[in-house]
Amino acid sequence: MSGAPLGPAPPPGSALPPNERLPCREHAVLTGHEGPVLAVRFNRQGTYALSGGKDRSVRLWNPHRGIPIKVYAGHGYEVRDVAVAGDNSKFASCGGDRQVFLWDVSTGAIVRKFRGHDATINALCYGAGGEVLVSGGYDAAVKVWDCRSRSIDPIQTMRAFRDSVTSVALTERAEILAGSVDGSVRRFDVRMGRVFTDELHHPVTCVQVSRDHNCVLAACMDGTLRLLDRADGDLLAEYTGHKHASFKMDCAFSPSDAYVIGSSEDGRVFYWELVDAQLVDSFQAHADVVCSLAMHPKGECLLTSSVDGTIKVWT
Amino acid sequence: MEAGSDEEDFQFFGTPIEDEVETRVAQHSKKVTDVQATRALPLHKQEVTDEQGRRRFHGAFTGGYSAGYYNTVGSAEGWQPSTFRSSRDSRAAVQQSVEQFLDEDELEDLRRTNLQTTEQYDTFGSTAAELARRAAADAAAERPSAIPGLLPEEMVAPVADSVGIRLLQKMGWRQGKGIGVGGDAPTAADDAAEDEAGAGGGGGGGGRRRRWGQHVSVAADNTSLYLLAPKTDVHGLGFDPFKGAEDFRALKEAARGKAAPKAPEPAAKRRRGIAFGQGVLDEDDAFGTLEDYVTHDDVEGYEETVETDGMPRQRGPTVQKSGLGDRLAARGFSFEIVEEEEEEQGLLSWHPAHPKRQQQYALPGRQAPLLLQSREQQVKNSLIPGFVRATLTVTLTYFPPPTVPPGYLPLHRARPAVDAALPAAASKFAPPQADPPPDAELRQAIDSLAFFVARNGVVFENMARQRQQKEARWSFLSGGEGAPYYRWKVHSLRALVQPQQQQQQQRRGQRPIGQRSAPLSADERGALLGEQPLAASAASSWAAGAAGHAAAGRDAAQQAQQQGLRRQLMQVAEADRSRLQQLLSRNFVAAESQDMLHPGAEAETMSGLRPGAPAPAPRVPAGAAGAASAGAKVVTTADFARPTDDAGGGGLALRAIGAAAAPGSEAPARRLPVRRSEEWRPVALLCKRFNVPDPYHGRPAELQMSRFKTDHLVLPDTAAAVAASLNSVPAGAQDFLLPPTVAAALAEAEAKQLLALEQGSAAAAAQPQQQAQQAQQAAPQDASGAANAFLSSLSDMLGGPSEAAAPDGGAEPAPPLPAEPPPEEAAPAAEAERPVDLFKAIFEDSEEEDEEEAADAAPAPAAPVQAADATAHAQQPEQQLGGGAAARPPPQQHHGGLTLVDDELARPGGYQQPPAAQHAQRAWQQPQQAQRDDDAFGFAKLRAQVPPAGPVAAAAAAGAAVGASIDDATKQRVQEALRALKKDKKEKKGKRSSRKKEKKEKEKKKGGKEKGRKRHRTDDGRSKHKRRRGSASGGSSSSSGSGSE
Repeated sequence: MSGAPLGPAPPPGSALPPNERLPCREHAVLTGHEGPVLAVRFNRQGTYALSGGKDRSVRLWNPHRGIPIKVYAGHGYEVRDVAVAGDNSKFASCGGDRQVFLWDVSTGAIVRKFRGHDATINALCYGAGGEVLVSGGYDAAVKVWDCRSRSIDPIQTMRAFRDSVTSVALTERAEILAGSVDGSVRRFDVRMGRVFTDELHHPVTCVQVSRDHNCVLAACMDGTLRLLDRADGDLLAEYTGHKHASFKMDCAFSPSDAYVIGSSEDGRVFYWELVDAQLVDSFQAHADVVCSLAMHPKGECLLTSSVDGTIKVWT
Repeated sequence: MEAGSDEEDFQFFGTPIEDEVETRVAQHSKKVTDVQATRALPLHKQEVTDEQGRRRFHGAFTGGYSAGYYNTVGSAEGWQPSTFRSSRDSRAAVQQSVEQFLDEDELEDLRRTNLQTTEQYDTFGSTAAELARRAAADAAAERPSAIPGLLPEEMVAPVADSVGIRLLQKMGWRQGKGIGVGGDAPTAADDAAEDEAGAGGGGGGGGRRRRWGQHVSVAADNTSLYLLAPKTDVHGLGFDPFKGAEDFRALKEAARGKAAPKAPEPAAKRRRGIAFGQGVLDEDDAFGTLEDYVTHDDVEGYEETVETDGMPRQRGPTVQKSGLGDRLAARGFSFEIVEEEEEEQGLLSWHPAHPKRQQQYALPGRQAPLLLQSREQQVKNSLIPGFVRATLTVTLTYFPPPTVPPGYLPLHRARPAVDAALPAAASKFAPPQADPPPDAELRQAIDSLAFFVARNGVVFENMARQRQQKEARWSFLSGGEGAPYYRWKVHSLRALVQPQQQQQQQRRGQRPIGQRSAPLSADERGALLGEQPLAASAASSWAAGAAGHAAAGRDAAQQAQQQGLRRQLMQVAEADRSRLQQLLSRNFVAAESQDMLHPGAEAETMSGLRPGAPAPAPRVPAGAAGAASAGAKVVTTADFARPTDDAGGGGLALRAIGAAAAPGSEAPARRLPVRRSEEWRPVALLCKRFNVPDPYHGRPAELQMSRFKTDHLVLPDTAAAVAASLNSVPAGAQDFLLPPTVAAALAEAEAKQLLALEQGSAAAAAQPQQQAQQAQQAAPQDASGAANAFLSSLSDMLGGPSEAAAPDGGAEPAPPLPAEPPPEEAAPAAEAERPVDLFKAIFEDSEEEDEEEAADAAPAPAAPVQAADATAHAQQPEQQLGGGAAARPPPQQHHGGLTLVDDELARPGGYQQPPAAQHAQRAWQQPQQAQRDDDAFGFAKLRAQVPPAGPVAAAAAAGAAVGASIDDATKQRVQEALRALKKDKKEKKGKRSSRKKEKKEKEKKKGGKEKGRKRHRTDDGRSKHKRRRGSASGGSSSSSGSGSE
């Protein structure tokens, strides 16, 4: 972590002030889930939040006012991930049902179900301008679903993994990123027709792409967040200090890509400086494992969800 | 007549005073208006009249509707009831028709032939809209716009009518019409005046509503689309460059007009001369082409009349106005003089047959004008209009067809493929290996060309040679720099490429599965199955081998051969294994197949993910433990652990994870990420969705795995089973794969069967089987314990171990079991249960199987029994018999011939089926299949090579005789056991059924309670058995029944 050019330069003009404020003050507690909240996600604009949990429901919140808006019931098993379409009209959820559910936000009806995974689906992501859904599951496969046509079969299935796929992400350069328990982060480059496999040697639970799409952050189960160069797979930085050994936990970038956010199994949230990997701040967010976290796209607030069934809004 | 003459004398002045009654009648019986006109009115103004013009409906308070004869039931002749006439005598004569029962109105309706406008010509309907649209399109075409054509309305306009349109339609508006009344429709003011008059007139008989009768208002025409003239110049908006310079505008327009289709000349600019029909046709624009004609009677006098502003100006010396036309016109002819140039411009319209032309010039009251044409023109006009007679004659040269050489056969024979011959030739003349030229660019060129040539043949090289003759860079083609390297490269690449191509061609040439023309040979089949050909297999055929080996003995050389065979078989097994593992890795969760591949390797990652892995003590964070109990999201297999694993407890997840973490700590302190990159083919649709060009566009799709069933099935013979058995049986002791006695007997049996088949006698075909059976009996050391296995399998079949054990135990206390029932014997019976499965499954597709299936099916079911008999016969004394139940193989081994491998491969060596067992089984299959030359798997060949053991074979022959005496004893035992089993089963069944009956009866009794005693009596009378049982249980019920009574 010395010498080499670390981290991406903030994109000109769009950068927040370098001394951006990191949310650590509790603003609201969203209660309603009856059981662990496994995923919490902002919509693209950051106005609303969706969460899914073991209570088989998906819930829509206004995190800024701290109020629940709607409950979407229909899952037969726990909900493991949620993804909101760019136009906010639909969202997708997945979980133990082995199906990706596509919901209409306003009516709460299930628009479609994508069947094809052989096991629990762990992660879900919209891509290609909302035209495809990418899902990864315990069947060690990543599947790409077509939202435009009425086809019920996946467009493509990637079975390169040797174990459960825990996280998927998409870059703006037609790439599909997926992290797996087999300790690899795979990048499927559609444009080049290649797959790049970064062996991290430790199970990966979350993969995030930086806002400038040059770095990949992987949360490994050896208690380390690893920052990789997207292009050549170099290890740029490692962020340690938190506990991460058993649970799927998320990580995130701050909106300016200046900080890295991680959570811990003891309920703390950690902020690291991206470049020099120094721990900047940490606070006790929950009493229990922080299952999922989501950063507001403009940095206004941070959402954390926990095993205790609460979602907290930090400003 | 007189009156008429009288009247003629009167003179009438002024208008007569109208008779009021008459007017009233007239008012009530208006002239029948045009239906179309009536329909155009709004609904409340439409009036229905009968054929006499009387109003049909008056409204409920003013007399209802008129019907019959002036609202009476009479007729014009008065009311005349028809007299009754009996039709009894002339029944057949009475012809009733529909018309007799119809009213005159109805009759009229019936007879009326309605002429109606169709949709197509309905100017009020949608056609008008269509016309308007077309007119707009024409208008738009005249004025070019930036967007060519009209916006297709179908794309934009909604399918359903809007509410407004529907409202309008209710109010009488029709498609294609404008809104509001047009033309001479009554205005609002008129209506108001009329209303006033009506009110003022009071009861004055209504008076005339309007002087000229009721107006038929026709809706206004649709307003044409207003099209904005598009701006095509670069001037500012509203800027007129010709302002104040109008002359230039004309110039400009003239310049523009050259390109544009010529607009008709303004009428004012027409040249005027002497012509007919001038005044009549002048106004019509369509006659713009009609020019005025000037006759040139006088040669020297050039006359032309140019009319400008109505003032004729004369030019030239004389103007002769009277020509031929005048003279003809004077005699009452209507004619035209057609001028040459005019003729050429519009031949079509001047054609005498052209209807428009004739119509155009038909003056009112006259016939169509007579067209005067010169002879030349008439000749011209006889041609197709628009065409000119050719002046040039073209003569086509004619080539006679080639003569067919005598003795030519119209039959094409394909030459043998050049490429197929190539590798042989190439290998003969293999060019020496040469060093690549130092020039990297040249080398690359050579490499790429060599690849193409190797792949596509020499044609490519020739093409390249022709094309690149001049370039120095390509001199290697003609022996220049790099030529030896090129030759070597082509050769080596061809050696690589050709086998692949051949394989592909083969595959392409193959028919779809199930349509093979000829049965596969053993070699082909072996190739399909991925087997490697055995060294000696090519030389020997089955029949010859059978005959030869029956007599031959074993010697050292053959042993050595066997070693080689064994090694190869191991390779086959290994190949099978890896292939299957590859397959499995696709079908199953990878972690599991990983375990199979590398039981020990990659433990630091994998052990944590394997549910059953022995794990070190869990290192569970305190918080996490609680969370796990709460069911939080745990990453690995823990969440999804199979039910069996779940039984291990909730800690499993964490234990497994702990295991994952623990080796990580032991691993070197820090391992840098490693990057690998592989080709990955995104589906075309995915590229499309990502809006990215397909990187693999145009490249052929990946080679699909062949779809043979054998790809997904495992042959226990070839795979792990062979390996396991070879390991388990000590090398020295084993008689390689096949008990020699059996082999010998088999050979004999099959040879005989071949003979029998030749003779075509079914009876003879059965014989070899028996002989083989005897041979089997004569192999006591191999068959030892087979009876146990048989019994155990039998007991399995019949229902459970307890039942199987019972008769044995009952017959005599079982002696201590043999410490380890020999596995070799355990399996054959299990295998023998379904001996045909394997073959069926593999050859399901092939056609010949269907034919043979019938033949196979008949003897197949007998096989296990025979095997059992054989083994039982050969069995040593009875102490083995009791061990039958215990010797039962574990349930996994009860798969048929085919298994999906996961079990077997997961436990290498766990598959306990020995070769002897398989071959014992096969011994029963083979005789039936001996007639197949193409025996499967090459096993037949393998067997053919295995020499029978000389001494043991001799013993076998003797044993066959001795076995007969032992037989009876063991046979009896087995039969006894069988009987006991059956009996036991029967008994149990009987008990069960009797219990059932009892129960039934009880229920019946209960149901019958209410029905009383009578029922019971009849019930009792039915059967003794029932009564007996019923009296026992039914006593209470009958007593209670009587109690209730």
